[in-house]
Amino acid sequence: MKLFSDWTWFHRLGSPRWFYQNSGRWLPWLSVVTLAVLVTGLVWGLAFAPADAKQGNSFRIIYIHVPASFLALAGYYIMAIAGAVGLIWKMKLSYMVMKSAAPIGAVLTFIALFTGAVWGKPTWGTYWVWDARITSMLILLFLYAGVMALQYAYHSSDAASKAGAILALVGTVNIPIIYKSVDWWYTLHQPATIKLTSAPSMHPDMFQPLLVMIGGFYLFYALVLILQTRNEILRRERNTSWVRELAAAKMAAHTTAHSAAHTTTEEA
Amino acid sequence: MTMYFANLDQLIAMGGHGVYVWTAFAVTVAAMLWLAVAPLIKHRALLNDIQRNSYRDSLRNSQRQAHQPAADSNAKINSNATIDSPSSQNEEKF
Repeated sequence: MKLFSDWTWFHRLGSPRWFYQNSGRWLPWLSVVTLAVLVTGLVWGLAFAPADAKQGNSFRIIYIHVPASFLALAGYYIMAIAGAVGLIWKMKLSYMVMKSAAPIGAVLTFIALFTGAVWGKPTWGTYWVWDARITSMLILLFLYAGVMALQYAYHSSDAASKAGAILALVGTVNIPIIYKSVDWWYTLHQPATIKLTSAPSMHPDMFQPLLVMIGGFYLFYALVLILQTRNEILRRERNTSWVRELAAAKMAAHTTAHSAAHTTTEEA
Repeated sequence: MTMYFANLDQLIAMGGHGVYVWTAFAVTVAAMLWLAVAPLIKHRALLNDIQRNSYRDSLRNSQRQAHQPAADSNAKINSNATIDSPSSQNEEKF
């Protein structure tokens, strides 16, 4: 197959310019689909899914808690893999993806912890316990914060990228600990509801909206990662002629649209 | 498909768990909106900055050219080239 003999696709994928131009074409579609899936999942989970027999309606928090936790972990893999690709192949775009993934992952981890705490109050009677699962998620938040802080700790963005990538890779040790924490230790946190190897321990009426929300969160993650990476491309490539031409063209289009709107309002 | 709750009041009350459920959802939606909107605002600001800087560079280059006329034809070609692609010159941070 041509794909495997010809490596130009790999090099093209590593080109910030190629990524910027193509992602601009995907963004409108991706935004519409993401919004549609998330709104469907939210309404379904909040108003249509049945309440849990034991937990009542507080169980509905699962529709954001579980997807946010999934993406907090998946986002860490993406950040660490992007860092590794940057270290191995010295791919600039890869470092930009790594830097962009850190704040998104941090916000998702915060959402997972916050919704978990709010859910804990009516269910366990407490907002917080130093339980293995919760503590290891808090460490995940600190790892994301560490990678973010390292990006600003160096004058050279190359040194910052390398340091961030190394911290991200070392921190992957925490990921299996988070996954396995509910099995290895006796925790207040319940074991996984969804497993690839067995049927979900949830009624289909409750499970289907959860799947929609997980899908929606994956789409949302892709969307915001692309948005952040595009900004990072502009920031790092600001002195190249293609970025300067692009900025000039965008700003010119903006002023024309603005003045056109201005004249029409004056006429009216 | 029918709604689980009989009316809007029940949906808001969530059987006494309304405070928890709605707080969790409101904070999540706010955080996600911020994740999506902040980069869009930043994008416009970046393009604006880049455009302004390259405009300033081209002004500076043309002034330099006006004040110091090129000594030989070779230098003139070089300074002309910098106007076309200011990227080769300015390495300033912003």
